[in-house]
Amino acid sequence: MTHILVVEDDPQFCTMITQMLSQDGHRIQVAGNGEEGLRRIAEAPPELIVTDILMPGTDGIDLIMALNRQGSAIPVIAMSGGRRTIRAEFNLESAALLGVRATLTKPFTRAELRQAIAGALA
Amino acid sequence: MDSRASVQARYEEILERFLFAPGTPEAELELAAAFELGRSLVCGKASPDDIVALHQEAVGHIARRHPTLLLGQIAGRLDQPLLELTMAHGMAFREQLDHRIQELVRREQASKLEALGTLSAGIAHDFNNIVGCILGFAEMAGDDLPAGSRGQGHVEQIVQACFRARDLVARMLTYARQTPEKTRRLNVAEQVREILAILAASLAPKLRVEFSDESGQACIQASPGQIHQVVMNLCLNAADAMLHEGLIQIRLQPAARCADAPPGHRDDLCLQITDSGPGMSPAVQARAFEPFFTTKAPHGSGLGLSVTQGIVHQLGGEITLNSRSEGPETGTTFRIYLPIDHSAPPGPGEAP
Ligand SMILES: Nc1ncnc2c1ncn2[C@@H]1O[C@H](COP(=O)(O)OP(=O)(O)OP(=O)(O)O)[C@@H](O)[C@H]1O
Ligand SMILES: [Mg+2]
Repeated sequence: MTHILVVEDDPQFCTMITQMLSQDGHRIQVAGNGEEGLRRIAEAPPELIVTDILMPGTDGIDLIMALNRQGSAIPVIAMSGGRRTIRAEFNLESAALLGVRATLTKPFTRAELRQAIAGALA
Repeated sequence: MDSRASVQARYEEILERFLFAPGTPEAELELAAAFELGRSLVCGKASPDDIVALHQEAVGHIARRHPTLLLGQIAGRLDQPLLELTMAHGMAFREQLDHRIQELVRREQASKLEALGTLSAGIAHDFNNIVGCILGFAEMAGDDLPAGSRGQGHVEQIVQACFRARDLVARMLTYARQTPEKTRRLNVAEQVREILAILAASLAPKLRVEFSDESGQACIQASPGQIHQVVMNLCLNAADAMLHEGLIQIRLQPAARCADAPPGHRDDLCLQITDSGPGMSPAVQARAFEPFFTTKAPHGSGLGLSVTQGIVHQLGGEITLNSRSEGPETGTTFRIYLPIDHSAPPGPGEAP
């Protein structure tokens, strides 16, 4: 069982991924944007963070950079489906430059999610 | 771009000077230098790990050069330049990213040259999240059903349909990003009819579109994508202007029949698009073709008319605007003049 923080602004997508991870026996906390995510991390550091990239306000990139500045060693998985004119690959490439453990392009399968988590925790 | 070795040397220089000038104005200067170096590192795509490696290596070298100092002492004192370095790197990364996003948005909006692209860009928004939800919940439902059951078979079909949806959007976006195809001899009336068929599906039910074709099968040199983009942009603007109710009249006729055909275009083909909307004030008319000018923020990009004008000019044509925003009969008319292709149509055996 891993304590995972999910940071995602789309409520339905958040519900989906939370249920998927809970069914695999993980303990899940959620945050609707990067700022809330940072608060949750300060209160109770999770063992893994799964974050969306494009979110209103403090986005996934800001979140990852803040963690890097704090010298955090918590592994991060970044996911993105892109937005209008911003492609998912573009966001994920930026996240990769910041040293995330794995990236997921939405929509992704349960198997892809499990694989990313196993990789990030290895 | 500086090579890795010269960055390393430069950073060691900064650290060494900082180490031997604690609390002096010189030390401040070295911190500023570390900050500058951090900013410049972003251009070489350095990751945070690279920066930590750079720092650790530098501290190691310095410790070896000054055997009288304890490594612990050195490392502790050099945290401050490291902080400057990483902070500057983070800030520069964010700046560069924001800049890249702006560039990307600008480029992709300016190249939304296909009618399909205009539509798909609109729906691709949030589409991947939605398909992601369907896919995820379907997979969970499938895993809960008995293996090999009929229900599980149905769920498998839903999952396959999600993959098709994902691939379709990817294809539509790729198509939208294509550069315009080569021009060829096109029957304008045929193209317009095709576009109107696509458009009809997305218009409010009380918006009527009338098309009167007096072109006598005249042809022009263009790519279908260019014509789609022009007609689509003008019709979408007309539809936006009229909200839910009104009439869009499209007429294709020889320019000779239009009283205000600009000089040099009297032998062209004229495509006229008229709406019964509220029209534009003179101030809006004056700026309507300006890139990024829009009265529909945050939904409009303000690129529709400038892209349209760009295409028309590319085709050797002209576009004019007449609009009335006062009086009993308000409305807007755009006329597009395009040179007619008088070459002989390709024979039966030839490639079009
Ligand atoms: N048929 C029309 N009736 C009234 N106003 C119009 C009409 N066409 C254009 N305009 C005005 O001109 C502006 C610029 O139009 P343009 O097509 O360039 O951008 P947009 O429609 O605002 O944004 P986009 O085309 O990206 O959705 C519009 O915001 C609107 O104010
Ligand atoms: Mg427009």
